Parts: sequence; structure tokens; C-alpha cells
Amino acid sequence: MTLAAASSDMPFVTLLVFIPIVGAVLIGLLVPSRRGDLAHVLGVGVSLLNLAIVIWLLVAFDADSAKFQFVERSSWIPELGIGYLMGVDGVSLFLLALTGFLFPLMLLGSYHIRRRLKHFTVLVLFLEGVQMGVFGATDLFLFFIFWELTLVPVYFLIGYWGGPDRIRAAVKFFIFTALGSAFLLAAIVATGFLADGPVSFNINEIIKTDFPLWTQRILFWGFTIGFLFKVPVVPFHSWLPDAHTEAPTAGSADLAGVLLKIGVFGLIRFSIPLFPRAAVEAVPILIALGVVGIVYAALVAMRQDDAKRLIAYTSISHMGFVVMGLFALTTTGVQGSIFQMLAHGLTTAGLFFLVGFFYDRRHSHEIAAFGGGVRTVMPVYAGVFLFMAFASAGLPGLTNFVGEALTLFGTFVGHRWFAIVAATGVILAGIYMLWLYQRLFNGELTVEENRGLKDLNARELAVIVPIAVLVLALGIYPKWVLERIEPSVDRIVTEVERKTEGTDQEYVQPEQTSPGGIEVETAPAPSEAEHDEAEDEALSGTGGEVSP
Amino acid sequence: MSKEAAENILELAWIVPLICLVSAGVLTTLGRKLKEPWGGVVGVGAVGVAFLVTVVVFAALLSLPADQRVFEHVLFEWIPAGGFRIEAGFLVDPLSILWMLLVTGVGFVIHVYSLGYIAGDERYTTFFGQMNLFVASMLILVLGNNFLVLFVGWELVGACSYLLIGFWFKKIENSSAGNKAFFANRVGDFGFLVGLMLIFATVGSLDFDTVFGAAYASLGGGAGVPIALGTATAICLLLLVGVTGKSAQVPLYVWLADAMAGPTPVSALIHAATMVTAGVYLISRAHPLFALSEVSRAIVTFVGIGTAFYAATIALGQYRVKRVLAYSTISQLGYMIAAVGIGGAGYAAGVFHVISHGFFKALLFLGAGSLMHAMHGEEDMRRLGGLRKVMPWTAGLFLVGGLSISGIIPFSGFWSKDAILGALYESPESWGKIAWGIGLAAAFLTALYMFRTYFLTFTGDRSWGDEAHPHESPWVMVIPMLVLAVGTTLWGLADLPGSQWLHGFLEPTFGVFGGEAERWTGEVVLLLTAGLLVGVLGVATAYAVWSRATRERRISFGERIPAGAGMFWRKAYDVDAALEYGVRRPGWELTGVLATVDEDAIDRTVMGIGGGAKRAGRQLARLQNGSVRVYASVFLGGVVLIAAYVIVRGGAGL
Repeated sequence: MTLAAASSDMPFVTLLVFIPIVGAVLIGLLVPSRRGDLAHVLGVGVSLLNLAIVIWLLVAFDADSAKFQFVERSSWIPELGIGYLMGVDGVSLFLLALTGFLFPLMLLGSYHIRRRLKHFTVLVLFLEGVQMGVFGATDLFLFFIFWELTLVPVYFLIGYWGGPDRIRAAVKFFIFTALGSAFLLAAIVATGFLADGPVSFNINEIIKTDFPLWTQRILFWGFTIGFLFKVPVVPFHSWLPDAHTEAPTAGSADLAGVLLKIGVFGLIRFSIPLFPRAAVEAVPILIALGVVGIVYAALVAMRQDDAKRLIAYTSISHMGFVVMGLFALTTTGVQGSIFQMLAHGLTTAGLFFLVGFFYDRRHSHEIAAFGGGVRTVMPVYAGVFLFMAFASAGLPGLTNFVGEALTLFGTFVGHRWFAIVAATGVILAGIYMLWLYQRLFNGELTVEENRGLKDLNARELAVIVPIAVLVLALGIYPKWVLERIEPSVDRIVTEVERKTEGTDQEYVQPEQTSPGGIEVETAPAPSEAEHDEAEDEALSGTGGEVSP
Repeated sequence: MSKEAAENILELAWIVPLICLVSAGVLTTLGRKLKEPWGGVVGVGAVGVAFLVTVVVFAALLSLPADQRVFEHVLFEWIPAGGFRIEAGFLVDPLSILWMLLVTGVGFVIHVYSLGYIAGDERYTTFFGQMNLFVASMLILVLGNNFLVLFVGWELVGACSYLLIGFWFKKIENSSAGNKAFFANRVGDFGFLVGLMLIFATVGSLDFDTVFGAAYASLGGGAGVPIALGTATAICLLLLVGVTGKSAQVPLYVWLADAMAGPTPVSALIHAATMVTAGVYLISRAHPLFALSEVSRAIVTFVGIGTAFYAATIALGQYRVKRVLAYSTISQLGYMIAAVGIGGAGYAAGVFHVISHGFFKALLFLGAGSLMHAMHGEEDMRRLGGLRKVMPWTAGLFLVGGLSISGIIPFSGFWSKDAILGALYESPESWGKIAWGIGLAAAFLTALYMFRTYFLTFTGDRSWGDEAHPHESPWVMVIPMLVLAVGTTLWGLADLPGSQWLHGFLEPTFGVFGGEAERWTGEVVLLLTAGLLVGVLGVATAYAVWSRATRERRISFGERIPAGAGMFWRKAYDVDAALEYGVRRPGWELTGVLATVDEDAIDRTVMGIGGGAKRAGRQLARLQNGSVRVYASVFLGGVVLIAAYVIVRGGAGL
């Protein structure tokens, strides 16, 4: 408790953003280019320091509160109502944690890079900082700046350290993301100006505005299309397989682990709470997009000849569960959606690391380069790969199962047929994963070059074992995470329900015949919530984000 | 034992799966670092200890008065999210304890046998690790106090099955057989999962207590939310989809015969004695739901009894011993499913047969394994024969298993199969007698194919070449078979008509749904006699046709039946070809079309936006003059340029 008390004033997000950025600048200025190895070691150190801060944040976080914690407020460009506003709630907590967890591993797993290792390290650290900023910002404009800044390092990671077709992939990534950003920027500016009161980009202020329905619709879709490009949801996805295929391992791990999440994060943080009526109206479309994505991407995944590309498609398929669960707009579904992001971040990043280990040995991630039978020479590698493949296929006891089950159960209550179609993804995931595994590892060793391959070394184990441990731990005891997500999610869902009452109940109410339905016993007693809020307001002077 | 002492012991029942789980973790992690025989010692020891603990738990349960023999305990809250709150809890009652005894008991015996069978394999320790993991998973399946924990075990046993079928992964056929098993099971699991979602949406919980409470309420007893008839039928049929996958019933049975690619102890433990009975367990456990819908019970019964007959006809045409046993397993599982489908006395009869089958089928498989061990993997009956003389123990013990499955008195198969047939015949449901008729016909086929296998393998001329030197298997393999033979000889006593200990023991689980205990009546005697007669008739027919088969006749068996129809039958009605042309190829085409569309879409999009530009520089330049300019704010362009400069020039630093 003393720790919690001592840390209540900690500017956690600022630390998480600026430790890596300052670290990047210092390494950039002080370490000579030829000492890439030194830069790399320092980079790992900086990211580990950030991980320590993340762990501190996890411990200090008040699990029972639905509000933003560790709020930071400074005015930045007061004329335009732009503030430096940061805060952590149940929605962002574990995305920050995931970022903090994956970056040290990404750096650690990149030790073999020979080309400009120093610049690589600097870019990765910079990327970590701005991604932390994306999840921590509670000001729309600040969010947008961080959002845009993620583009730069990823562009160069793919374009400079990528595979043979890296330039095309990088440009494609840039174009698609930029296109999404155009929608986003326009919507953000319009929102800031159209909201009640003086121009402000503070979401805690904007959320008080009840925009007219048509305004909601336009702004909602402006935000949402921008985010859907990033997720990516199926018609907007085609940049991702190329980006993944060409990106270096760390880039792929970041794309799958963190970068895709900022799209969904935007949906949860902005699209839904700021424009609830438009959101509820759009539910069938967005759930349908999610479900189509699950099935479509899974089917396309089966026909890929490149292991990385195949995993990229499975990634799209899994993100379909995230979108579906989110727009179920039930506490269960949204919690499942956030949990699934975490699970997907771990397992997909894990799979990319694993494919990367093979790439480091053979400079290919084509399935034909494995050619089967790799298990005979690399049994440990094969075992860990199978573990991650099972996790990705949603085997119970491992983390993805929890996320998938929650999104499915959360969706089924209101949207039966969508959930049933989505559940076929369970079959498909089993097929593409085990079939991939068979082609990589089983049978006789056919590719002669593979005969002398060494099994995983200590450094590689240091990268993959922590991920595997978390995949198992979160599958067996997800409660610790879920109970921290729940209050914030519950608050969002309840608010959406309250604001859309009488307009379109169909999409937020559980089925008539379900007395113990999803909503039951999730809402905190209103009086208590109000009390908390008033108290916090009085203490911190930040103001609640929602007027009761 | 005092009540508190008993409950303290029951509270620790979760240790049983934990022992096997820990051992599995250790063995898999250490792998080759743990040399033979230590991996085996740990693996066998873990299951042995698990069995002993189970026996203690069983004793504790028995010491309680019958009406208190349902013990639930929650370990921790597993998935709390909104209204969806699942606990990791377990339930020890007569039904689950019987399965625990079966899994750890037969599991232990088969583990011991594996010490001999798998000796010398390079992945010796891993084998025991995966077997232990299976035992743990199966225990989770039967111990869960709610549907989701059951589902965890359900999926995990499927994963273990996949691992062990493909244990010898260097042969790609084994790996493919593992995949096939997993895929077929996943199709079943899809149905199961949708069923669970429907249960949750209807009742608001997945706890057995709450769900079955709702079922009782619908039947007019007790408080709870009634379940509509249509919903109940849908739920039951969705669960049945899961059952057809896991318990290899029509139409999802297609994986089990291929699953014989795994090492024989795996076939005995997973694909005969335990995992495949999970469907029987599920229906028994969910009996209050099935009680709501007569339609679904009729469908379950006929899927079961239909499978029993259908698979028996296939078994009759097979040449490979393990294939016969595989189809035989599908057929026997059909009996069990039919029994728990029709309900009433069928529940106890089904469970009776599960354990009975666990003994005799494991015995038959271990016999087949002993045979293959002696013959260097040869199991084609056309190249066997006369082995009784060289491996008398194996032959004798195989004969005991064969008599039991054929329903010959006094072996357990006689009592348990007739309990099922009796339950079908005496059921108040009008369609019970039709099912009984089919079951009786299948019983004849069972005796026929089983003794065809016995005679062709162990009697008549030897048809193996001089290069084979068959010998009796080591004691470490024979003694487990002996134990199982004793089991199948004595197990019938557990539920003799008139006493019916098992029926009474299961009463706390099935209650009013369990039907009346059977007494010695004229009808019962007639039914038993009918059952025995078809068995004897089957054995006698087999004796007349196959007992003196010569080497020439064995080889020419294939040609004695008209080629077309004969081949169709011998290839198990060519269902694999139907799957190939009906499912796999269309699926392959579909994914091909989608993948092509996806590639094209990529190209078109890029062409559309990026124009024909080939070089990145030009594309970037276009970006800044082009349509996306709205977005490209000054600061971003600046950052990009600076960063680009630094990277490209590799300058002094940022």
C-alpha cells in the first residue's frame, strides 16, 4: 500500500514515453556508429528500464477504479485547446504493459543485425516511446501526433532493414496508413471544433457533448475508417501481409504485437464513447466486417507459401475476433476484445520471433526452405513452435482461448449467427496451424542445408521463453488481467447504453430470455461510482470524464 | 472414516490431475536429457501415484452416505468478465470417480506396458511426458464442475491425441493421421462450442448446477429458468456434434481408423479405453438436458446404434488387426452412446460398458501390440496365422478379450452389452425395440469379426516368411495384459441383474433419470439368452469359416468377393475418397480462388494509389504532391526527411 501511495503522483506515461525517446537521443548522439554492439546493449538496457516502470505501473494501478489514473495535465497550445493530457485506465493499462514487455525482447532478438545496428536501436527505442504515447494520450491532438510518429520508425524499419521487396512494402504501408490518417485528422479537427464549449481536444471534455446524430455518423466513420486501416479489417488489410513479409523480425513483432492494437485502441477510446449513437447504429456493419475477416483471412492463410505471410493472415483473422467482440458492446465482449489483443500480441509476436530464428539461420522464411523434418535437427525449436501454434489455434489453457471465448460468448448473446460463423474460425485455425506445422517440421528432413542447423541458443530462449510463460500464465489465471480491465470497460459499455437508451436497444440488450445475461451484476452501484468520481475530482481537480 | 476426514480428502481430488501435469511438464522439458529408463520410471510412477490417490478419494466418497456423494469444490475464479464468470472448480461424484478410476487404473497398466513397448525409442522420455499430459487432460475433463472446464479437458485430450498419433513424425502418414484426427475433432468442437454459447445465452451460466437446475425447472421440479423445448433440442444436438467428433460416431468417425498410426499403447489408452468415451461422459453428465428433448434422445440413440452396426460391418472386411480393433471401438462406442441416448437404465448400462470396454479393448490392443512387437510391426492377417504356438500368453489373453467383446458368459462384455440391449428393449420409448434389433444384429457381427481376427491370427497355418522370428513378449508387457484379463473376467460382477451395485452407486448422479434396477425376470433371462446366442453363433460361424485357413486361402481372400462391391466394402465404403473429392478438394479450390483474389486486390490497390511508379522515391514524391496532401502536415514531412537523411547517409548521429 505504501508503494501505491508513493506512486499515486508518478507521471507514469511521461516516463514511459520519454525514457526510451531520451535514451534514443542519447545513444544517437553519444555512441559512435561503428559501435553498434554498444548501442544495442544500451538500447536493451533502456527498454528494460522501461519494463521496470511498466511493472511498477501494474502494481500501482488501482484495480477497482474505472477512471483514468496517474493523470497528467499541462496546457500545451492553449489557443487551440490542445493539452498535454495523459492517463491510464483499464483499457490502456495492458497495452502499455504489452509494449513495455515486447520491446526488450525485440531488441534482444535483433543482435544479429549487422547493418547500422546503432540506427536500428535508436529507431526501435523511438518507436517504443511514441507507442506508449499513443496509449497514454487523453487529448485527441496529442494522440494524433504520437499516432503519426509511429509511422516514421516503422517505415524505415521495413524500408531499410527489410527483405528483398522491402521498398514496395514500406511504401504500401506508408500509403495505407497515411490514407487512414487523413480521415482521422479531419475527424479530429472537426470534433475539436464542433464539441460544446471552447475548442478543446480533451476527450474528457468532448465526451460531455451529445453531438447531433448526423454529426455523430460523419465523425464516427471518419475516426473509424482511419482506425480500420490500422487494425486492419478485411477490405483495408492488404498492406499488412507485405509489411510483415518484408519487415525484419523486430518490425513484424512490433506490427503484430503493438502497432495493430493502436487501431482497436482508437475504436475503444474514441469512436465508441464519443459517438455512441452512431456506434450502436454501426454495430451490424462492424461485427460483420470482423466476422468476414475471421473467415476470409483464415481461408487465404491456408494457401500461403511463406511462413511469415501465412502468420500475417492468421493475425488478420485473429484481429477479426477483436473487432467482433468490441462491437458486441457487452462488458464480456469488450473485455474479451482487449484480452484478445493482449493474447494475440503475445502469440503472434512469438510466432514471428520463431520464424525469425529460422530466418537468421537460412535467410528465408519460405515454407519450402524448411521443407519438413526440421524437428529432427531442432527439437527444442520445434517444441516451442508447436506450443505457440497451439496457442494461436486457441487451445484452452493458453491465453488466446480466453480472449476468443469471451469475444464469442459476448457476441452470441446479441448476435447469434455472427458468433456462430465466427466460431468456424476455431476449425480453420486448427487446420492452417497444424498444416503449417506439418510442412515445416514433420516428415523426413528433405532440405540438405537444414541438416547442420543448430537448435535454439541461450539468447533466443531468453526471447521466447518469457513469451511462452506469459501465454501459459494468462491462460490459466487471466483473472488478474480481466479484473483490472473490467471497471473501465463496464463504464464505457454502461455509458453507451445510457446515451443510446430508447434509440436502438436491440444492440445493447441481451436476449429477452436471458435472465442471467451479460449485463447482470457488472454495473457498479451508481451512487458509489458517483461518489468516487466526486472525490477524485475534488482531490485531483481533473474533473471526471463523464458528467453523471 | 469421519465425514470431515472424507471431505478433507475429497477437497484434494485436484491433486490427481496435478501430479500427472507436473510430471508431464518435467518430462517434456527435460526430454532427451532424462535417459531411459528414468523417464519411464517417472511417467509410470506419476500415474501410479495418481491411481493410488484416486483410490483413496474413491474410498472417501464411499464412506459418505449415498445421498451426500456429490462433492463440489471451487479452486479459484478462472475467467471473470462481465456476466460471464467461470470458476475453476471440480466435481467428484459417482460418475466422475468411475472415470477417474478408469483413466488412472487402465492408464497405469498401459504405462507399465509401454516400458517394454517403447523401450529403445529415441523419444522415450517425451513419450511418457505426452502420455502423462493426456492422463492429466482426461482427468480435467471428467473433474470439471462446469461445461467450460470440461471443454478445456475435451480440447486438451484432442491435442494429446494429435501429439501421440504423430509421435513417429518422420513418417509423414503418421503426421497426416494426427492432423486428420485433430481436424475432425475440431469440427465436433465447433458444434460443442456453439452448444455452450446457446446454453449460456439461455441460462446465463455454464455451471452444471445452474444449467441442470434450469433443466429440472423445465421438467416442473425446483426453481430455475425453464428452457424451451426447441432450445433444449438445439443444445442437445449441438452437444451431439461434439460427441460424434470425440467418440468417433457417424459422421465424424473418419479419423479413428487412421489414428492407429500412433504407437499401440496410445491406441489402447486414448483411442480405445478412455478419450473416446468422453462423449459418453458428456451425455451422461448432461442427462437433465437430454431428458428435456425426446427427439434429441431418439437421434442420439440411433446415431449410436447405427454406428454400432455400420462400423461392425466395416470391421469384418479389414485385414490389419489394429484396423479391425479401431472399427470395433467405433462400433462399441456406438452401443454406449445408444445406451446413454435412450436414458433410464441405459445410463448405468452405458457407464458399465465404458469400463467393461476399457478392460477388454485395452487388452485386445495390447495383444495386438504384443503381436506387432514380435512380428516387427506386421499386423496384416494375410501374413500371420498359427501364432498361438509361439506366443501362447498373448494368444490366450487375446482370446479372453475376444470372448468378452463377443458377449460370451461369464466375461464382463456379456453382462455389459446385454445391459445395454436390455435397456434398449425395456425402455418405455416406442423406438427402443427397433434399436434393440439393430444392436442384436451388430452383436452377431461383433463376434464374427472378432473371431475371424482371432482365428486368422493365432490359428491355422503360419503365413509369415522365414525372416520373421516371432517370440513371446517380455513380462513387462504380458503382466499388464494379464491384469486387464482379470479385470474383464471380474468386472461383470459389478452390475449383475438382481444386485446391480453399479446402478445403485450411480444413483446420486442420475437420480430419477436412472431408471429402475433390473431384477431376475423371465424377460431378462430371455434377453440374456438371446444376447448369448448371437454371440455363440458368431463365434461358431467364424470357427467354421476361418479357423483352418491355409496360407493360400489367406492370400486369396480378397478375390473371393466380386471385385467392385468387395473393394468398396474392404475400403470402408470409400469414405476417404468421398472426403477427398467432397471436402478437401473443393476447400482447396476455394482457398485458391480467395488467395488469388487477395493478391490481385493488393496489386490493384497499389497500382491505383501509387500509379505506375517503380521507385520508392518517386512514389514518396507523388505522395506529397498528390491526393494525400491533406494529411501530410509539415512537421511529419520534416521528421521523415531528417530521419531519412540520417539513415541514408549514416551520419554522425541523430
